[in-house]
Amino acid sequence: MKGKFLLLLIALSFCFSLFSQKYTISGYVRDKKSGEDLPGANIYVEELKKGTSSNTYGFYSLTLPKGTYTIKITFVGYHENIKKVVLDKDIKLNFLLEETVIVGKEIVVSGEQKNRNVESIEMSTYKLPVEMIKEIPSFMGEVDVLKSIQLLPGVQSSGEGNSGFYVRGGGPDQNLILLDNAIVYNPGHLFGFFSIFNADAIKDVNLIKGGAPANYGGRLSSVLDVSMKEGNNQSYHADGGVGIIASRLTVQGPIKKDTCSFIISGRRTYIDVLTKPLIKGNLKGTGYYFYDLNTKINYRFSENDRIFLSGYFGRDVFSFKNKRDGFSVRFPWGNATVSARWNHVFNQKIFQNITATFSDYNFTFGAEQDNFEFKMYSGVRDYSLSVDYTYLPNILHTVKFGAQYTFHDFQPGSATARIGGTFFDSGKIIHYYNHDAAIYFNDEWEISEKLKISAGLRPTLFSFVGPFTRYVLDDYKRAKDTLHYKALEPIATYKNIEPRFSLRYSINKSTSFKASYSQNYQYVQLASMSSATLPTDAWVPSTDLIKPQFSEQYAAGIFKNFKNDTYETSVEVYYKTMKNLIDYKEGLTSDDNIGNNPDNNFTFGTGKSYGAEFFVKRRFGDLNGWIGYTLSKTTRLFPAINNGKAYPAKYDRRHDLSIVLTYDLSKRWQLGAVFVYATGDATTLPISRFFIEGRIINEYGERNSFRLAPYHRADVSVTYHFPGEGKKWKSSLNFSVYNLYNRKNPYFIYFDTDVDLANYSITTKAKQVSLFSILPSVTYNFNF
Amino acid sequence: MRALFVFFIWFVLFTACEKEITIDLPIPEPKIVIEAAIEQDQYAWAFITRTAAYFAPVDSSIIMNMIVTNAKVIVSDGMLNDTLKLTFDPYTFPYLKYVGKIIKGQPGKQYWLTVIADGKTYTAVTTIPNPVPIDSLKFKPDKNQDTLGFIWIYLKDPDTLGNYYRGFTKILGKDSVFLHPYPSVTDDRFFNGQTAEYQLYRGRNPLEDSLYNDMGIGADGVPRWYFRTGQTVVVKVAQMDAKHYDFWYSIEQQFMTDGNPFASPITIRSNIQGGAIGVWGGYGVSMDTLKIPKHVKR
Repeated sequence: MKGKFLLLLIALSFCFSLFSQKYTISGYVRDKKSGEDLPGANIYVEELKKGTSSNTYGFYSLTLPKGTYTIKITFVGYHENIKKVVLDKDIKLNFLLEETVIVGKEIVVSGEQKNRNVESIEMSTYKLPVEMIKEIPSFMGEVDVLKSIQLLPGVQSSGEGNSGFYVRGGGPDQNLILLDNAIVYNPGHLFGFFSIFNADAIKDVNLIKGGAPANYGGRLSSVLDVSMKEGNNQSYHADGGVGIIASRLTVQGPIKKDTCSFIISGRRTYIDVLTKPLIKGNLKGTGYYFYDLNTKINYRFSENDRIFLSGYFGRDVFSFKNKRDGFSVRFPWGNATVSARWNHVFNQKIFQNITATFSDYNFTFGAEQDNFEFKMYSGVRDYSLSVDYTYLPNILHTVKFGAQYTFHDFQPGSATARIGGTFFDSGKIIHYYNHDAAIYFNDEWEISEKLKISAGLRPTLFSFVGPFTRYVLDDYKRAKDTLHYKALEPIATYKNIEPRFSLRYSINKSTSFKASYSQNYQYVQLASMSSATLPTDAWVPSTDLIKPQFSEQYAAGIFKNFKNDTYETSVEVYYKTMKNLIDYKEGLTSDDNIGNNPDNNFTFGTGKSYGAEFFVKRRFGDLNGWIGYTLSKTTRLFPAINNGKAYPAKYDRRHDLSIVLTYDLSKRWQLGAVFVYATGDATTLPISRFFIEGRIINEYGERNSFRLAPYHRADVSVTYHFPGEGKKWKSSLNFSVYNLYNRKNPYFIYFDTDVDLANYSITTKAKQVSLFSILPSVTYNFNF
Repeated sequence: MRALFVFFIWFVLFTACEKEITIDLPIPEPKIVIEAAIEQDQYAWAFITRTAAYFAPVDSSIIMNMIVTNAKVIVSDGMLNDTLKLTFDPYTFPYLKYVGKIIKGQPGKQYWLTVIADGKTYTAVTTIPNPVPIDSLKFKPDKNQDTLGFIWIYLKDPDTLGNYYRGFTKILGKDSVFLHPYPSVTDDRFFNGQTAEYQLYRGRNPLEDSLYNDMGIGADGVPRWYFRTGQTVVVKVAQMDAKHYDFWYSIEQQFMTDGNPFASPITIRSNIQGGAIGVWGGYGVSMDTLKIPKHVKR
């Protein structure tokens, strides 16, 4: 397989270079003021009516026949830049673009407007600049990248106020969340009510809901690629904010002008500091806080070489003490990621990236009470290396190929407990070690003016290796046998090939048809026992018992822009099937994980999701925003659940509507509004009850056969920019109201049963709990 | 893990509000519920009832309708048949109990149950495992208490894995039936072959709920779950087979997770064939009596 793949690669490279008398123009597109790279800028050759766009690092390369060309660079929010070049040798040319007056506003000052969403081959993809995210009303004053993602069609929130998201009927663990290429295993703080992404340190966010190019892999449902800012390499700046629950500060600047810059950004909540004086006596020492720290250094040591070093470190810490009961709990959890990357440009046409990343997520828990003690630990640690190439042989092809390798160390939960003198010991921490490797090849090829295709292959290899101890259980969960595997001894190995294909057919200048097909394998999964995503949910890899998850997705869509590109619209339909999904066996509880391999507790099934997504976006003018609507259906089929009958997935949502609007009232005043409507969550309720030992026991109805009331909510925000033209210090005040009309959205329902058997009376009341009522917040932001 | 839930719930309740709602649930067909057991040296007994719709208001006539009084209940040891007779038991809800009079349980033997109710036949089989003897019992006062406390059981678990325990207590002169704490069942996965110590508190008797307030505190200010110095307590440790244990385990798991909206619902397991809910369970028992002295040193 590998041999054939390389052969294909070489053959393709040869046929690209058959044409003679061609020269290459290449360089970077950057922001003139800060020196930040501008990814996704449009580089257009007037004479050929063709173009390309800059990559994630702002690099572009065009190989054209000898001649004189007019090159036009456009990038939203920046003034257009036009240069005439005489191409009779290879040329290096950097473009420095100047920002238009208002930060983050899509104002095109001159020139032709681009139908980028229509012309590009990407579908099911959204790019959100962080400046835009900042204009959307915020929750408790914290600008949240993940919550703005939830407002896009095909993406659903995992619950009230929660930053977790579901894409096209996939679970929360089926999203590949990357921060500067390092995998983030738990993107939430405080049970997901806040995301770990501090908007001040983030440059942009790219979401792919399906048909991702072959350089991405490992998850079934989506890719969320978040890149951190690089730091201003021209002058020092600080941004900060003071909100009701947290404060932020970001400092950036050049270490050496033009070549080396840094950024450091921190955020910490202060609920614990504010409530400290209130917590007295027995409860002293109880508190909760979280913090984030982002840093990045980047250094250009030549025109062709750059190094980036970036890191993220975040923690949630909760401690609870009750002296009277002698009870104390402490559990810190959080992520750490480190990425080191070297960019290199070979002979102007090949862009190379070598990236080493480290990612760590862990959760520790310790509780003590007199003669009872409980300790638990779970975590994931990844070491990975990837080599990626972008080869731009000529204006018609963009070839990407590379290899990726990760060594995973999963520790899905180990616990020890002591009651009195008896130790309930689960033994040592159980490790699951894995080799995870992939190679890929992807070519984006403009076959004709109208037709563009992208085809890719991603062969993957996943191997579960020792040391490992497997407990073989009988039907009654008794250990029948234990198998011991030596270090690096392969226990289970999976090899798969994932094809990816997409095409764009231009019907006319402002209309195109796009389609995609993709296969994905997923070798890691989150085992969630409860319906809330908790930090205790453990990641487990594919093993000899857990087969890799697999999905196939077909998508097609029409993209059309109206009124000279002012309105972008699209309609997409998708059909997705999933295999080897995991769930816990029915009726299991947390202690079944102790003294056992967690994968012994799983049961396997399939899933299906299909739907239509409608999107209208207004890009220019004082009024900006979008409307997204999704009509979809998602089901699960597990032989061991619900008596083998298909049932609606927890994230099955028939209707999902989001409206996002921002309006510039004047230079000083900005308004923002959000409205969301979603079908109620599917849930399982008791249908009947009976007596055992004189107590009432419930019999539950079919899985997820009941719907909670629909979810809807409106948020508004007002931002006032203080006058400060010409001054260095700029500041603004943002006032947001979450849940404007105080809708009591169901968070869950529970039953309150009063039993008085002596008087033969039983009464049951259903109670609906709502989480956040109307919630105003205010944030003061500044920069200098 | 519960502490995490406590924190989670605390966070939720910190910001949450609730309201009463009405829910339209489909009315399901009633099912037969069998709660039947045969204990070592005792005759078999059974309660045969029906399920009721979850939201149906329950009063005395509905409860009477839930009890099946005309079922045919037959226990067999493979040689003899024992047809259980409907009797009145004033100490156990719902009072109308089928009781045998021929076959007494013996450790190591298998027993079959056949129930014919509402025109359908249900069958089950269970075993009575050999009992595990109690080494010793001890009363330990709770901290900050002198006269109130819990009973500790000490026993040696057999070397083979797969012992399933259930503990009961009965205070002589106070309790009319054996009561058990929640949870009352455990298996020996974590202490196989070891000397185990286990703490028992006094369980709840559903017919005595009116004697205690919502917090479980009696009129005399004494919580329901304590044993007291000077009392004489019979302790019963029962052995079950795996399917019998599974039933009680699922029942007790439902109790633990009941009201926790984030836990997935616990389906009650059953060892009964034919579509009924419930259990036919054998108990191998060892009993011991603890006379708690008037004065106990801490």
